[in-house]
Amino acid sequence: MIPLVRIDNRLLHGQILETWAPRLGARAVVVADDEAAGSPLAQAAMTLALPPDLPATISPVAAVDWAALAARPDPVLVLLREVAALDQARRAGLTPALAPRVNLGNVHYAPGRRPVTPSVFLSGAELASVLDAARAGFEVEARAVPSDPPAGPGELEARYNASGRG
Amino acid sequence: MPRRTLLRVFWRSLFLQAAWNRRGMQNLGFAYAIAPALAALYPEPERRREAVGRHLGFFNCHPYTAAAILGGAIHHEERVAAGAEPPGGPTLYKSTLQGPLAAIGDGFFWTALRPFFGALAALGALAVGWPAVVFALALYNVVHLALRFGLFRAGYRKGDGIVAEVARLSLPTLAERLRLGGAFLCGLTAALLLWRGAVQAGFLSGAVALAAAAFGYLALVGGARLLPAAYAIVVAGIGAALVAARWHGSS
Repeated sequence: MIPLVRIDNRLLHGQILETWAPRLGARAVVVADDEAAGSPLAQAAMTLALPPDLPATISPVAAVDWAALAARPDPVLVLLREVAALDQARRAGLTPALAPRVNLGNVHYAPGRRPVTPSVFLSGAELASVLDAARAGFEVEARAVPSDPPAGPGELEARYNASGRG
Repeated sequence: MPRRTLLRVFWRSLFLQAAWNRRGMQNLGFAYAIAPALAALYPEPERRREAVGRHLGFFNCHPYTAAAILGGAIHHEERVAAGAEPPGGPTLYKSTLQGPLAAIGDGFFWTALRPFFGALAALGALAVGWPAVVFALALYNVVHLALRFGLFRAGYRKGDGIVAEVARLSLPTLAERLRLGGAFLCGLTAALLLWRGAVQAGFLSGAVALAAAAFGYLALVGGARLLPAAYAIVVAGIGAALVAARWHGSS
């Protein structure tokens, strides 16, 4: 099963290993990212960072077999780098039935992005993608670590609009 | 790269988080730290400005393991300056390694090395008094600065090879041992506290505190969801111990 699909610009880091993986009881991590899948340095570094009892698979977004991951008996945490990768994954077969929860963890500031939580900045197109995923039935929330209060799609939209004046 | 410049960069890396901000996190600290190296590599103002500019992009890592990335970024900047790789090389290196090295740093320094020395300071303070705290802090910083400098130097010398260098340190195994050692020191500290409490306030208060600690421990072993309950039991137990000590002392 896939208890959580996480969108995080930094992919694998302390927040994942120290908080989310234990909280979800994850037995494996899938890093679905084209750039990491093509970089031996990224693969070596990620393998090094993971504890031996939490194996990781690093593959391009298009190569992820969502139905197979959802059919596994053990919880698998999936990491995506960008909101755009969520769109790509949905086109490749990711549905709310296979992975009901989507978390926006860290999306860094870039020109055109507005702050919606302390660690998430979204562009208009990205907000539209997030809202579309919510309408399609995904439980979408933004928070960095499990102990933060989650922000739902309505809140994200309201904060995006409120920060537009700044 | 002159040794003096490298030392200046390392010194500046100690202030990596001084200008932490939500947009770029450690970006200003990183650009400030690497600036002397960029000044040495790019004497022309235009190329230097461009180089500093690319290090102002988002960066966030563990402040200690970031030293390895800083060293490696200088390694890559030397190659850029020599025309051996495109200007995007250092940025890609940073974005690739920041997450994994942050995870390693959090796991080793924050959840193993620092608690170990904290427990050592607590036990030492109880056993021999405040100089033990100063000693534990000094020792922690000797270990941390030595590792930090080693990571910086290895990053500068090896570039992408830093991953293999960090693997050789087997930090997760070391962390596991430090956690066990730290837990042992915490146990010793608790035993010493209970024993002193029992000697000073009587057997009953010691026994109540011991029972409270045992309840707390069992609740914690029961699972993370019991955490608030465990705290409540420990606090109630300590309160009961204090009441018992008071009652014992006044009777």
